[in-house]
Amino acid sequence: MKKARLATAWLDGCSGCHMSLLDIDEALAVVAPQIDLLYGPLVDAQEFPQDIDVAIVEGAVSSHDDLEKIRLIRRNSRILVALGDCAVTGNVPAMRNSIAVKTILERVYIEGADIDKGVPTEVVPTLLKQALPLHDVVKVDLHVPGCPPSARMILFVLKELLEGRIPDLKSSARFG
Amino acid sequence: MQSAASQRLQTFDQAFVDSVIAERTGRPGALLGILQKVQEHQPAQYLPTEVLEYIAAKTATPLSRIYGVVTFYALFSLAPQGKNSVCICRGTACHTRGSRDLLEQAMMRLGLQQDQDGETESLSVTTPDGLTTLRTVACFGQCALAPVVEVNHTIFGHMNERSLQKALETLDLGGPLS
Amino acid sequence: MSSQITVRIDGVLCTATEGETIFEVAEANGKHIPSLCHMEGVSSAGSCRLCLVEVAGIDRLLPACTTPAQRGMAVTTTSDRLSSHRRLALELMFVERNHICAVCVSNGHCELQALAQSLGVTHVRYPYNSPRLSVDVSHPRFVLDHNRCILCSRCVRVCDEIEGAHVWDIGGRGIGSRVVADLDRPWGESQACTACGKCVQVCPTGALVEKGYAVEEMTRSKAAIARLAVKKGATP
Repeated sequence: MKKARLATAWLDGCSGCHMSLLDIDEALAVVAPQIDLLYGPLVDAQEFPQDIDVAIVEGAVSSHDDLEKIRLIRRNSRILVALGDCAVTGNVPAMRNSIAVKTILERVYIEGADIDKGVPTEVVPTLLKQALPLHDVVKVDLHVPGCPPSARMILFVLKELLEGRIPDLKSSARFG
Repeated sequence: MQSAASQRLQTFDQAFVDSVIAERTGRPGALLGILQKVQEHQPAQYLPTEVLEYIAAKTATPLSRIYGVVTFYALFSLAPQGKNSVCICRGTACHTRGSRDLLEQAMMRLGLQQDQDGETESLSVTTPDGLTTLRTVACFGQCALAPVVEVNHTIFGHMNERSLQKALETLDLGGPLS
Repeated sequence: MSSQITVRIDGVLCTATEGETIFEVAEANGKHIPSLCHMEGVSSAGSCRLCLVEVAGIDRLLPACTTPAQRGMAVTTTSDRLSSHRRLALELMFVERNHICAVCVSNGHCELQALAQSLGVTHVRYPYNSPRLSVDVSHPRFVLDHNRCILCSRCVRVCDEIEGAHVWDIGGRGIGSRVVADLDRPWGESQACTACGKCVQVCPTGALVEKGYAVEEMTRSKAAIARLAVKKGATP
């Protein structure tokens, strides 16, 4: 059987959703033979590959870097899964959305800094005006809310996707 | 003994408020009429906290209910109003015909600061000297005359930068405009 | 003496007392209609629009909590059309303010969250409004977080009708509406508040909470307030 080409990505989030993915424990051994994990925080790959079957994305779209990444992921993937509240609603990263970016940066890098006061202009990606859920910027095929979604739910989603179905999470998934 | 409360009552005409309340008590919707009459009678056309507290006590109305009514209706003000009033319509028709620019022009002319976000949905600001209040409304209902500006209760239609400037020059600002 | 009438709810004949609302008749006959503003023991507000039902012969949807049951009425409480309207109403509540369930003390015990789950809301289709809102921590025992308020007005009604203090009301208008204490004072400075906590017990979200609870810890007893109302004979 042809293995499914899987990628995961971590945008503006805490990595808790990836942790929850790893929490499927022994089921990893069941899932592993059916997938090729080609990109994500769990593997060492520099560029997002072409021709991905399922991309599972954690985190909100918060910076121009995130925006470019999610657009590339969308272009190269058949099914895009928004994993967890940050990807689905903006969640905690979106708590900054009512504050001007300039105010936040000054608070962190000038008021909050002991040395080298100054807003960085290099290396650190520039922030978007607001942290956005994935579906605000690209088409999302499946939303898996939860902070984080339970390992059981993630396993169910994986199994369904590997069977070629988009699972129906209505009434089983919950924000938060 | 003169309590602090009775001293505060000096900031408004208690006898007038009493008479307005006496006149309307028991009528349905009395509160709205009382607030309106009292605001009209106030020198700076507004409802100070002390008046609201007095009316609440006198009519046995909860404070939060009074606050709800006062902040629901656009005609009531909790801050002193200037003797001049300038009102710019921000309805759809006026907006498409440039009322945002007129608002900015009026603010600049009167020396008022734009809100930090720049997006002021409904605005009511009074100049620091207390002479002029600039407000926006959602719609005057005079869309055929868009953009519409009201200056001291006269409605001007088809306003542009020049005609607004002229209208603003009629305001009594206690000195020449800068 | 009010007379008995019969109405049909989802095809089932139900007996009702004239003057009872569709909501009351449905509940009495074991039909649960979703709602966020309705609460047993206090008057109805009809503000959340989740209890909308279909009534045969009437095109528009009617709120069950404020519509009196009438002789011969045929009511439908679940349909695709109703579900889609209810989902819409819920999603608009989510976008209006900042509901961050993950950091909310009511997470897991929230009526808004539970309803979203039961109506199959896995994401919100509209852009978030992300308003800048305050949190009032001035009261020694309680907190009012405007970010999580859906303006159901349960607190307003329970404080007025059961406690008799009428600390709360809704100030402002439209999108700018806020729950206010007295003349929009910090809650802790309210002269009217008796610190009874009834408003906290009936809040459907995490807007009114007790201090000292961490995420997911805040539970409430709406039913206790309803029982109290019945004892007081305050049920309208």
